[in-house]
Amino acid sequence: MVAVRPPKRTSRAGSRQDALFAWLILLPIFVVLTAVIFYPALSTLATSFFYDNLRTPGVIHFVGLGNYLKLLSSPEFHHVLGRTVLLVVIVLPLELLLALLGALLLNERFRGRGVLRALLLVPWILPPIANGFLWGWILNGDYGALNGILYQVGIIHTYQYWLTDPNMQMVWVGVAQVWSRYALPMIVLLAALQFIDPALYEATQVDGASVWQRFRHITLPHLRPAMALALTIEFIGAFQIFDLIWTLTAGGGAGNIINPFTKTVMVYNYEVVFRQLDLGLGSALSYLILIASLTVGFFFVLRLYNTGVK
Amino acid sequence: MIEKLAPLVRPRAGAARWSRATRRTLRGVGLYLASGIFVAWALAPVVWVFISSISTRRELYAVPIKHWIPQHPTLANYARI
Repeated sequence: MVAVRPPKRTSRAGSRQDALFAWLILLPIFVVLTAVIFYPALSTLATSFFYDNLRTPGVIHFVGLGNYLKLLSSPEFHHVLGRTVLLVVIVLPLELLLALLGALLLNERFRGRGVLRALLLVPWILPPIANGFLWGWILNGDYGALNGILYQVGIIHTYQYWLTDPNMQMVWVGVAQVWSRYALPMIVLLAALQFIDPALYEATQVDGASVWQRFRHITLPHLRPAMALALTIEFIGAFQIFDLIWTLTAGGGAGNIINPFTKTVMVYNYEVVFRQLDLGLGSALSYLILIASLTVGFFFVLRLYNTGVK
Repeated sequence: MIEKLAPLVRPRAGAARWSRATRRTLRGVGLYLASGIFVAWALAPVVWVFISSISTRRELYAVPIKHWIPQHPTLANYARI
């Protein structure tokens, strides 16, 4: 091994000057981060321990964990949380399955693979707001494309109002979410697939391992760290979903009542802060969402990332 | 020597069933079929938005038969934006 010697310091003063310069050039980004991340986060944490409602201006008093306890014991919060978990349970397996199939397909060698890689990314490029309007347009009960195609194929005989059934609304939100978000985990898994040493496959092929055995014992273990990453990102995306619901099913524009059947934690948070103007309760809810996201992310990393082949 | 060893080497499952050329064709058909399904799933909504963008309002609101290919394609919507 070749030792790389650091350039010789001529004096201690020079090194101290370097350190000072390093801190100096780090200062601007530290100031920016403090202003836009650390300060708001800490200020929200502080607010979450107070009764602070803009409807009763001037009345601010310390309630300790009161806001948290109020949320954890409120039936509405339980419903909202259950609905959000349901969405996650619909979205994550579907996304991961599609992402895995897509990644395996894109990892094969064939003509047009580059074009296919680009085309499959298109839904991901679409902003979530546009995604909501797009699916609302497709699912429209009066002249939507889904109705048109099902009618012309002969599956339905009258146009259906897809988004009016309260039980189906979360399913359609899930479909739109899977459609727009499967591409990111797919690319993450594809990158991981390309890192697997082809010699492993050749060796096991010589030993007579079947396609399934090779997938089960080589591909999957190597994909675990990437899956942990993809699942964590997509969990946060689905758990904290807001803009897609806002444009597809919330119906809450311009002060209208927010549709209770697709009220997820983030939509509920918006309602608490911007409709009920309850800053204290809203801050506590934000921190509960943060804690839930961190816990689940931590779990994925612990169970998948640390047990995979690296 | 080789002849004596030959029975010991078990042919892999599937290897004997089809010839090399057939397997290559099957692989190609499978890959392009899968690609087609994936592209349809990923692009259909976007394509529909594009078709909508060049259709006249009358055609868009036509029910129950939709015009998947605009009869009177127009750029008027873009001009208005």
